[in-house]
Amino acid sequence: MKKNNLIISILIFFGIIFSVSVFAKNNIAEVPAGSENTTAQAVLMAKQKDKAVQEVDRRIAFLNEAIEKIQITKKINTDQKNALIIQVQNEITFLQQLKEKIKADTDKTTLLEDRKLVVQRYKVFGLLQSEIAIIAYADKILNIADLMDPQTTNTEAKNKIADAKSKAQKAISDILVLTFDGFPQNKSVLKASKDLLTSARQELNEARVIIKQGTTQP
Amino acid sequence: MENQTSVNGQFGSFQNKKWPWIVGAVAVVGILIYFVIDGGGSLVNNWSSITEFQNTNLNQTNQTNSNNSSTENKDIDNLLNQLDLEESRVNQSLNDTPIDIMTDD
Repeated sequence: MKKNNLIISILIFFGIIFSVSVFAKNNIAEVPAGSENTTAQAVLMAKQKDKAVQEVDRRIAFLNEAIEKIQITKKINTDQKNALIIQVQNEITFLQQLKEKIKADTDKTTLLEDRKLVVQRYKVFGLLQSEIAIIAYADKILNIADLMDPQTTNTEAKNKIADAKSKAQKAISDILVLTFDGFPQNKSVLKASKDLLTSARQELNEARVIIKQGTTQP
Repeated sequence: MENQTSVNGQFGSFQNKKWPWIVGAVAVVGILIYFVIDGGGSLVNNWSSITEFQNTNLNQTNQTNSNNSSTENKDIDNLLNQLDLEESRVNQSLNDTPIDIMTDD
């Protein structure tokens, strides 16, 4: 009898130990698993937000500088200048609002949609930044041509200066009609305009050489 | 008698008209003496000064024009060189790629 009680006690003891260990194991496995998932998701969202905000900030910084560049441009008319400035300001406002929304996002799905919006919106920035760079380049070419023209009576030099001017003006007029929805397909027009400016610049350099040769001759 | 008076009057009037000539002659002699004493006179010096001033001014104007022209030429060369930067900005914008913000998924 005593022997049976001893065996039963030992079995109960091991049974309790086994139950406790299984219960403890289950608890240890369940609680940290949920916590790890939540933490990992939060870390991932923070990383995604950082990248998205970084891209948005990059665009805003460029566009802020662009406004100043447009304002000092001399060779586009006031209407064209104002239209361009309004487009840039609208985009800055849009990006600033999107940035604040991304920073405040707590839901993974909403954040994903906002990140997709940043990617889709690149067409506006992509076109604006190329347009502004080309206009700034063309503007400088036209200003230099205006300075050089009165310096010479040489027909060849004058023709080259006139060619440079018309190429720079064409580059500006070609790109100002482009639309955001057409980007990046209309990149070919942007590249063609850039090639026109490269050629215009070459014409000015050649005209400069002719003018210098003329002034150094006795 | 009346005629005599008239003739005398006219004669007297004629005599009276001599004094301006005398005054004029004295003035001319005075001016001549002034030039002799002054050794050419300050008037000549002033004239030289005026001519000198005009020449200096003319030279300065020519120099300024020459300097302006030289500066203008240097400016144009600098501006032409700056086009390098503008072209590289255009290339940069055409080759711009956005930060890849979707790869974390």
